[in-house]
Amino acid sequence: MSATVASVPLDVDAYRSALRAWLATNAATLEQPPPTTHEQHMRQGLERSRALWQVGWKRAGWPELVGGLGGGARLRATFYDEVCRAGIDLPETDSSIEVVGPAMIEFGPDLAARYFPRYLAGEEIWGQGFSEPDAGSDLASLRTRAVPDGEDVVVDGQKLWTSHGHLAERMVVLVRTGSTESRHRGLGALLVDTDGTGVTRRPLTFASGGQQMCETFFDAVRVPADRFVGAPDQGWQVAMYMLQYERSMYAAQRQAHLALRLRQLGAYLARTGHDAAASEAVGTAWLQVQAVRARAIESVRRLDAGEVVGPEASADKVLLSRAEQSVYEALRHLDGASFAFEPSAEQWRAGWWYSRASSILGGAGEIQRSIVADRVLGLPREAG
Amino acid sequence: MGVDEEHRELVRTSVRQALLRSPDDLAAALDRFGWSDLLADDEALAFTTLFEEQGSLALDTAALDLAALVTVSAGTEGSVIWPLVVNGSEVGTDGRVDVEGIALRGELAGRVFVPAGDALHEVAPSRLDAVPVGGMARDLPWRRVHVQGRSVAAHGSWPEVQRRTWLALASELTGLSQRMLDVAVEQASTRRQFGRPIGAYQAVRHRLAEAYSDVVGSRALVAAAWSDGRPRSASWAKAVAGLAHDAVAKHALQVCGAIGFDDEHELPGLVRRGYALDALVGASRAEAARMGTCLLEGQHLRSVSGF
Repeated sequence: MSATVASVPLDVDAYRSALRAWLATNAATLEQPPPTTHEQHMRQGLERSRALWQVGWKRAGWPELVGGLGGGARLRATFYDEVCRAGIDLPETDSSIEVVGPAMIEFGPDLAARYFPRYLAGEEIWGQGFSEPDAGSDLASLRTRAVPDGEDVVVDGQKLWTSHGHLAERMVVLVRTGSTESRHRGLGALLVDTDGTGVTRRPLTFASGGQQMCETFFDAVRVPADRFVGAPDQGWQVAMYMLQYERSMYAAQRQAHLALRLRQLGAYLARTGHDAAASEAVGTAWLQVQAVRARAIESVRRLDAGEVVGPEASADKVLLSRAEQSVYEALRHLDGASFAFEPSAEQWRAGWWYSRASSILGGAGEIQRSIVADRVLGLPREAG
Repeated sequence: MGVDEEHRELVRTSVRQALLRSPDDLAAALDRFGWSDLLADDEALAFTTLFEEQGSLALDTAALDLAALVTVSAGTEGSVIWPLVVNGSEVGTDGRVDVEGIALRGELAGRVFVPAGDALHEVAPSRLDAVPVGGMARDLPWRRVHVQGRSVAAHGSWPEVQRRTWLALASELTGLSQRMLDVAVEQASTRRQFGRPIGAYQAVRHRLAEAYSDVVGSRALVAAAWSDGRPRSASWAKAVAGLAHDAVAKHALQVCGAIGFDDEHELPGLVRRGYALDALVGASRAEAARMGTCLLEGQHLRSVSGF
């Protein structure tokens, strides 16, 4: 690997050209054999992250506070875009790095400086402990509680369906710090080490077959009170700040991934002659990916300029889930019985299951549509 | 409001006034507010504003012909015969052309331009058949034209005209979609059934949120295609805008209910015009199929311009 940190340009166009040139000769060094387990898939992602961090490309767009080279969100989006363009899939951790990172840097810079670099550099896996048995889309009804006790808080409760949580070194856990009636006002975001006393995790098998998520029980877990991201009652603000990135930078990453998948489709199916319906389905998916991309470009530029991405970003999530599902539905129909049975179709089957979940995670499609209806279109409030 | 937004708003208001005051003499009206300066200064803003406003007003003007003629510096007067497919016909020996397409301005009294080969050709017709289009264009003066003749002059580059035409059509389709959405939101907010506005029912609200998503996706892709300048991005923008119009039309028709099928209402005209525009210079679904074939054949398609 030839590049050094000193040679990474921070002008977006120069960065894009330099990274593209580097990938043209070095992308092959990032290739890995198809993983056989979800854990291996995650570990391989970490290896790619470490390589791209050490050589310097992944540091662009992150503040020096967390080991970065400075510059803004456009550099990071360009990084994800170019890596996928070179045929290398993004490490799984990158999506939650983008969701957790900016919020932690904004609300808890000291905490970010201490812990986030290890996550960013591919040394650790983190989970987002948001959902609970009785709190999914209605996040403000969560019940996991953090009660102050001296220098610590004591955490009791249960989190569910945390992606990669069983493999994670740490979790950002949304906890109740006020009364249950305080709803979204009495919440905190707490960085919890998963090796602490009282933390019990049970891996859960995702519908596609791999152990991709977990449930976590917190039984009188002591966590230093300085592990709150921001103030103990700022959890909702932190979560809402995260959602800006969830709906823009995440879309930037996923469109790059989906374009990559569509480019791999021809080689995977390796057929000649296609009926018009097949071509139209694949082409429509491509067009939908381009629309998502165009929206992500606008959102990322706004984030880069320090502007807030508002409720209209929920439309991007609607467009993204639709594109995800179109890509994998087109593949499923074209691949026929192989999709159903063949070991070689494993990554496509996993992608299909993920595409179905894409309109659930990070706020269900119904929530996104209601946000647009209420806060963008100003429609009459829904009958209660 | 930032300086940029103020500038955009000013341009939008001026263009809207020109469109509303002189739809039949658009060239002169646009000239009065300094259209050519804007075109030279910020072509994307000039095109996007003119065609999106024309769409939201559902006006039928000479704008598309005008934009093509200005692009190739062939004056402001004349009719372009717009093909229904991507890339037109070829130029035959001795400069003979034989082109079928749509004329948007009805009677072909003045100069006639056709795309052929790599240029926009001005033609001396030896034979010219023109019949009203009808169908989805039944309330428009459009004619289906078959022209045969000899090229008297080759103007500019057809691919450059075609790229701008795709972007113009994409913006106009987006304007139509935005207007259909506005009409449907208004209807959902005021129409009451079972004691409450129909916009308070989730099924209706979610349809309109879908429609909004289509509108903003289509508008964003037009902007991205202007900034990357590739013909292919422009044809994608038009295809996405056409698919968005189709989706928004169906949501709006469902939400508006029976009134949306009454031709006295604004909606049917917006629906028809979009389907008519989508058919020009390559329909959306044909473009989707073309791209699908490229991908299935293993071509490396490049996405629109970057972050």
